[in-house]
Amino acid sequence: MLFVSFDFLLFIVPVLLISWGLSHVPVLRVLFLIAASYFFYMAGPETDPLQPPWYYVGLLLLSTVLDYVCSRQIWQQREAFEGKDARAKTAATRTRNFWLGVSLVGNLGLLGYFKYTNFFLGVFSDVAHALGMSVVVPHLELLLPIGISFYTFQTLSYTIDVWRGRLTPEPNFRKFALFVVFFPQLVAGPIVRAHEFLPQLHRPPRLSAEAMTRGMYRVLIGVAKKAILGDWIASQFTDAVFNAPENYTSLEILLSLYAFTLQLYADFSGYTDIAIGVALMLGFVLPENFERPYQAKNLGEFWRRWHMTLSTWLRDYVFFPLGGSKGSPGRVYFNLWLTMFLVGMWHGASWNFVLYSNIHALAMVFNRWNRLRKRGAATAKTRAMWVTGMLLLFGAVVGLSSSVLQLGQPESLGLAGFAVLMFLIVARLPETGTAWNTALHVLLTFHFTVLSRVFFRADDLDTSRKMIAGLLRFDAHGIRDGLITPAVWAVLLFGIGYHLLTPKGLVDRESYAVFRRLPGPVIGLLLALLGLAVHLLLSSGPRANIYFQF
Amino acid sequence: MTSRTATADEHEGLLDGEERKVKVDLTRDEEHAASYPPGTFRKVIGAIVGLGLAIGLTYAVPAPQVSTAAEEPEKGSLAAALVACFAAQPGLAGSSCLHLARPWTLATDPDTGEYKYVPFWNLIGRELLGMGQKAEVADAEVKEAIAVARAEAEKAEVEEFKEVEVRATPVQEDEKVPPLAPHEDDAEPVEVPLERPEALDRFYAALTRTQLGLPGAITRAMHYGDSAIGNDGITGAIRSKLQARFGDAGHGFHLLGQPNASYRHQGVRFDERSQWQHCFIIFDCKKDGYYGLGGTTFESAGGAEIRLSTAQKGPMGRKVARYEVWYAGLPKGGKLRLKLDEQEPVELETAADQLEDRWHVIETDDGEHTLSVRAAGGGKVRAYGVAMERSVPGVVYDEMSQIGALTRRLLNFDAEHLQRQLARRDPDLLVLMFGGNDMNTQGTMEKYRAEYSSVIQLFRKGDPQLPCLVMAPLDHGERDGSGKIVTRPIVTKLVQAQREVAQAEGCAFFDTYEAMGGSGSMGRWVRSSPALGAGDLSHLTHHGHKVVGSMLYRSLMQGYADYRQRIAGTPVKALSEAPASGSQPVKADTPSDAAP
Repeated sequence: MLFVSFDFLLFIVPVLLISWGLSHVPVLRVLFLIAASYFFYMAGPETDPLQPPWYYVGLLLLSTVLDYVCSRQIWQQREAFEGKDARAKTAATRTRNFWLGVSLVGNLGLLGYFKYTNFFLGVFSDVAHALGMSVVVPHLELLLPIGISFYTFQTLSYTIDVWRGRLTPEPNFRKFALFVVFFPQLVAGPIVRAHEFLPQLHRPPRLSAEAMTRGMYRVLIGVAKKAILGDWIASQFTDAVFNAPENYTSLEILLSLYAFTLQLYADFSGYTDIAIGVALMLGFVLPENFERPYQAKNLGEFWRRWHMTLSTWLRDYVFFPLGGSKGSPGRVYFNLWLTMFLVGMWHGASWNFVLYSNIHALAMVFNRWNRLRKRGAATAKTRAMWVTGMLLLFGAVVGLSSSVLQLGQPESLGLAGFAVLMFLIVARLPETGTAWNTALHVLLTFHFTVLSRVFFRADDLDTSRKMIAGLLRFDAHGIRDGLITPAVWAVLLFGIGYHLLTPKGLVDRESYAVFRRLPGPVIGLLLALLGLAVHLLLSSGPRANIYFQF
Repeated sequence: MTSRTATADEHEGLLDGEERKVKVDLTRDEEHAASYPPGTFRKVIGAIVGLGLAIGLTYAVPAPQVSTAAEEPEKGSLAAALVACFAAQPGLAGSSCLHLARPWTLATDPDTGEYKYVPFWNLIGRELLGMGQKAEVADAEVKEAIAVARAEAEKAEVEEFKEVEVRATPVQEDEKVPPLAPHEDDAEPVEVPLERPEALDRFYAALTRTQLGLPGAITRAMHYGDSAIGNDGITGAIRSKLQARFGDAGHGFHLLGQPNASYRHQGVRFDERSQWQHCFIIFDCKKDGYYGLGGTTFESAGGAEIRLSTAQKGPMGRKVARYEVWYAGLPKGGKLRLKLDEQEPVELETAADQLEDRWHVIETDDGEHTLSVRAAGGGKVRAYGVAMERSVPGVVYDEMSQIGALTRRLLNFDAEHLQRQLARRDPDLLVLMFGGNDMNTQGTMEKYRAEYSSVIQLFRKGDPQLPCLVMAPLDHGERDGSGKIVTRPIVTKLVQAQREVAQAEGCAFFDTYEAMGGSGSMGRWVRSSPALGAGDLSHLTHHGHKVVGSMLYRSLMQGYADYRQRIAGTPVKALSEAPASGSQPVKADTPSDAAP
């Protein structure tokens, strides 16, 4: 079910009223919320292509039962595992690892099968072709179960935490089931950890007038972000460019990247706002997922502010177990690269995402190196190393551009020159300094995210190539009259300016202070007007959240 | 319940800090009934009531007493309907316009009789109301198209087309046309067969000669159309398929500059170093009607230059052996400088007593080349384009897009000028794909049929037997009041009109709209992954181009296979006895001369 839809209104009002009514009967409240969440999952709208049928909910149930059982089996070995009997300890370790393995294989197996099978078959075919072998691989008609990337990570983290001894297993199956399927965050996050959510089911719901008002505020803001800055800009401009980039001028393609950067943030953070707001009204607190990411001064900070629940998940369950920042520099850089590569690949299974993941992972490696390197007077040796490094970077970009992206020679050289120039600017720019210096860092980081979005949004490598070739054409056609209406211009400039320039705390505080003074019926009227605006602006109806497909 | 053994400081980067360990004990249960202060729900209940009243009001007010769009919002956007309604009913009476904003009505689709909006569709509509089956059929059609797109994308990795072997021995008197050898493409299903494929017999005869490898057997097709074929998308896809099967005889015709930002051909690298002034036929900017073969004239008093180079990647356009520059002789005409690779340039004097059509041929070795065409001063020059061909048997497929053109704009050609241009090009097939822009004009279908017939007659004036194929427009979608993308009502009317024109003029007909999946297909193509339809609901993505190109190719080949079956065993020499196209004398010509 989509949040910004009439369906959801028909759903959420009775759910809220009944949930509040059952807040004195915790068992029934939890059971009711489980039933509501399953209904939410199964009762989606008609879409093209069709979404999976209702019985795909079985996978959700399977994942729930799997991790509930595995975690309990692991916990049962605790005494032997922590005891002094070496033989019993070895057996307990083996049993614990076995059940952890069952959970990992079960969860990652499902995720891998539905999300990555066709990609790996394609990779196999591509590699075989590259080696001169003629191989025909099947393309499986798989439907990606909605939210599988989210609920898989959620249940997996629970079992791993129990295995690590950082969490006692949830004794009550219904509470665990609600943790897995809680509808506000089920299909597109935030990815909630067990230690954040399950304790909330062990105490009374936190219902208060303040929580209700703040919840409504987050819903209102979320709907506006999702529908106007997200869906509307896409329907008016971005989609058309990405669908046929060859029809657009260089400047129009660049503008579409800015527009998509805004759209993606508004779409996902708007969805998160609604999820957090609805959860608040139901008496739950969900973690934040965004913190003005486009105001980050470097890429490390960007990923701390963007989709925080995913990036911190991979940090805690991949980066730290690999050794984190401890160990040799080479090992640390490898840990860093691998973690960020997985962050990227979590988003999609295609060559586009392989490139996107590597661009961000390598930029993170560079970011760390640049911050930690010794800055001193240049010697002949360091100069030689810089020149060699730049030549290598130039050659690598030229090679990749011409081979993988199949760009022409001028475009490849242009792209490589641009990469080297950006590298030098960022490397030479002081880490700290004046406000201008900070602004420059923010602008550079923002533009890195904007340009790398080519690979995130384009349907395939061919479209990415056309987008990049179009950008590097530097044609003089500008932006053609009538392509972008004044209203779209206004929303674009407002959206980018708002998220790039305004301080989150201040804006949220002040606007919330105004909102909380409004009487309830006025808020209801505001919601109705917003609904009408969505109805008017989006004649096709709101779209599914972009992260649904992940 | 929670204890932290270590915490990290506020750190800048995501992966800079130390691991933060949290221990949570879920064995203690503090679960008990909630107690909340009075007034907890006052505001939120007030908001729900306010929202409910606002929605209820849209159902409570009577339907507006206005006409057209306001009465039937499903035929246009809600915004337009509301604006029209409020304009028609100013003041308090306008409150009834809120009726149009009802979020849920029981409206049904006139085509299917199904409800346009069913809440919780995946459960109620799909399973309980049985709407899933039809949706799954439509879904399967899109999947089929996507499979074609994927297959085409994989096939594009071919680096070079196989050369057709040229026959060394002359055709014998008693030599018979052999049966068509099986080809893997012919096993693929045909979405929609051609209507009246026999109208293309002369084209199929040319293809047969090409396939038999007869020396100089080049099959030429010219494909005119609106933006549906812009960017050489659909045409490039067809060219690629035909050349892969029958041989690559060159890229074909290319304009001398860019009449619009999206003019770009596959298999040609071009660099308009200094821009030409162009005049595009749709603007009716040349009263003499001399627009050249491609519908655009390019003029310069000096300095304008274009460089056309063979492609460096992909199988198409890798070689050229013959350049033919299409230009005009005109009073006080200046010089046109042609430079092939690093050879000495050739200067053409374009001065003439009166406006006349001219051509200049440069023959060279079959390989990679770059031709520069430059206005060299001495007066204004006027030119049209360059045809690039090879001397081996194969297919040449010209993309002749007229972006933004209504069908009738082609009537802006001077008839004799067009006749000479076509005669010189000597095509074996004329394909016309218009209608996308005609959907936005007012006028009856009767008028439209007459216009389209006039265009076909104009193009066949010099060669009434020239095989022609009318290709119906793509499906064009629009959003209805419930949010679905539906086919614009004019699409089916226009398709039918074109079908009738094709029949009346003796042309073959390809129903592109039906091949895409018919009603609502653009919506499905737009939402497919990868997207096949563009966001404007009128055009296709490059994947969509490949799918439509492939569909037309398969239909053409079905007709070809039938033709070969019919003529199998007849003398090969009879193939040449079909009336030769381009048999009209060229009236104003300069002799073709080779470059130094």
